[in-house]
Amino acid sequence: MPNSEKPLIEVEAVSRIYNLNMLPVVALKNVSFSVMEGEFVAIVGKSGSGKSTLLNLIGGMDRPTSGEIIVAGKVISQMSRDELAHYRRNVVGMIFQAFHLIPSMSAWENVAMPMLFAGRSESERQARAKELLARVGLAHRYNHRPVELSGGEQQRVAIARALVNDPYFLLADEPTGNLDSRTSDEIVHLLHHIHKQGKTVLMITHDQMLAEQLSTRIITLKDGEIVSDETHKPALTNLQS
Amino acid sequence: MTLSDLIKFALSNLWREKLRSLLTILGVSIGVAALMAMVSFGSGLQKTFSDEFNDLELFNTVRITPTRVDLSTIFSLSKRTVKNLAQPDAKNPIVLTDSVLQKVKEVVLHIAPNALIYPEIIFPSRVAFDTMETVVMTEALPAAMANVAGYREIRVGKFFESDSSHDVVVSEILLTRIGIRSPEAALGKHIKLTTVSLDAQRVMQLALTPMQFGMGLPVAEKSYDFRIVGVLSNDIQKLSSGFRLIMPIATSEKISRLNFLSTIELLRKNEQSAGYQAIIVRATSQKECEALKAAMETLGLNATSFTDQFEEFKKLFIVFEFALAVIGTVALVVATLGITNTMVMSIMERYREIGIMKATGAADREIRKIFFVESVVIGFIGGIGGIVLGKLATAAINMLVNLYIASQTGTRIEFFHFPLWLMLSAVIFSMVISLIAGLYPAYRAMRIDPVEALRYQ
Repeated sequence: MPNSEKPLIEVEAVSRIYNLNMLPVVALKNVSFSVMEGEFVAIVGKSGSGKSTLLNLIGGMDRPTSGEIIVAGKVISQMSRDELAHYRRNVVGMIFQAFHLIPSMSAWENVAMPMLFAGRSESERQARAKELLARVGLAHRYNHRPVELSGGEQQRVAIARALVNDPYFLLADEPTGNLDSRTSDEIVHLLHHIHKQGKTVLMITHDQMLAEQLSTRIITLKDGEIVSDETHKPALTNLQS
Repeated sequence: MTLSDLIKFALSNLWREKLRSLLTILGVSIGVAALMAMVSFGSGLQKTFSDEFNDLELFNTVRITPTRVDLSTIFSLSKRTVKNLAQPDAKNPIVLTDSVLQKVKEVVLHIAPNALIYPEIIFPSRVAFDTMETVVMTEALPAAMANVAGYREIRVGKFFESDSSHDVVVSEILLTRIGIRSPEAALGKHIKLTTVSLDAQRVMQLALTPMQFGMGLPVAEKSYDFRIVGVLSNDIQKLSSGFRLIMPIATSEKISRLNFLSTIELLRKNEQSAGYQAIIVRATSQKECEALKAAMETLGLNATSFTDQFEEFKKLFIVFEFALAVIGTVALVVATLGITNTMVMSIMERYREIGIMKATGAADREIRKIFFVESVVIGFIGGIGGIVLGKLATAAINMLVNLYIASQTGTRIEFFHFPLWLMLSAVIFSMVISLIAGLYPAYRAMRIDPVEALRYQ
């Protein structure tokens, strides 16, 4: 369990260098920051600034070339493949711009998928998926497949999936990037509501306005380096969900 | 993931690509069917022989021969056949004379009082009825054989009742060769049996004037009249070529005949004095049979039981079945390459999906299990399909071959036998082979990088 006095996420002097056609490409340069429990941190930056690389590293899908990432006191950059899978399943809840739902599965099956890999029974999975779909306002879409859902509904299913194992924090990658303005608002309100309920959120976006709407802190990346790290009062502070 | 989750997941994934899955499963089914057909053919033949031996109580039989029978050479063409002739007992065979027969009868009486003892007498003859004529192996048996399995259940008429009568029983196929249309019509019909024997007068002439050799072999023909009193059951016909004529044993002693079955036998006989080809002891149980065999060996006789012969026969079948199984396995292995292909295709199509699973917490082993179980499910369904397909195909082949046999007035034979162990083994083997086929795809799926996969469009 995270300790409220210690940072939930610590990124310490992290660099990531890719080899592209034998040439080194620096995606992140000596990046350090930490996130306390309950924060809503937006990492903003233009395309190529290193946002996605940072997301992959914190999400446990990639390893830094140097430096360490510590989440809830555990150094994830040194974890085995199995430990990383466990981390992705239980510690972090991922929300993607492209939703990344499995087309052949129904809404509830998509939501409950991380529980499936945890070996939980079907009845447990169904009950939890039902509860979360109701929480994101999609109880009536329980058996629908992604193709039968709108973009906003798909993203809500993805958010429910991210919450299914009650992770320590949510990691959202451009959560409204594929949505129109009306459905974007729905997702913004949902994320805000989740944060208000105490969930730590780390959001990666190129949308400065979205960051300002939701975040308590904005970290700006440029060419793989942090250029600013400011606390912020979110525009949606008094919103009632 | 639990096993039931994995199976459901596998079935749902296979259902997504119905045609491809169906074709892959069909490929495995054909492979399993080929394997099943091959092995069941060997198994079927073995069972047919085993059942017939049992039904005819042949396992209760001891055969005493002049020379020791090298069982390992009976069903093979090994060099040992040649070597055997050089062995001491082959050079000094025991002549199975009437005194030996009498001695055997005395010994048998103490061990198996109800056993039947008779010399083996088989010789070639010509059978004629009206204008039709054919050649047949004629066998002489005691009338008491009427109580022995196979002869007891005679098809039409009865077994001859006297050892010295001129009554015979024949096989149905022989009747057709001499133009008698039905077994019922044969009863009471008189046939002419012609045998050949050495003409003593001409042999003498040849010895004195070898120049006369060009006039032909010194043989004489003699004809005898016999009455058909019975037609053999189909069961007893299965073990022989079908051409059979059985006459009473005492009558056969009055028939002039050559004491050999083939040219090879004739050549071998030049080192052997006259005597019976063999002495047969038919006990009432297999236990008696074993005791008799031991007693005969104590007497210095060369005794062989059918059990011994069948054991050798089974060894040959093991080799035969193994060879057939190898051919069948090749068919199955080819089919399983289809599984590898299907799974690799599936991975390419589900590349992004695998990335999503990994990003949301699937461990490498979970991904590997998904693809393993999919392969095994294909193998399982293919195995079941293979059993059905194999049974249908072999039933069709069996039916066609038996139609042909029936047209030749032969008896029905089950060429294929599907014991439970064979069906279970086929399914398990199919699943194991499929699992092996899934190794590479599963490993490949397991190693997919989630970052790459999520980027994939």
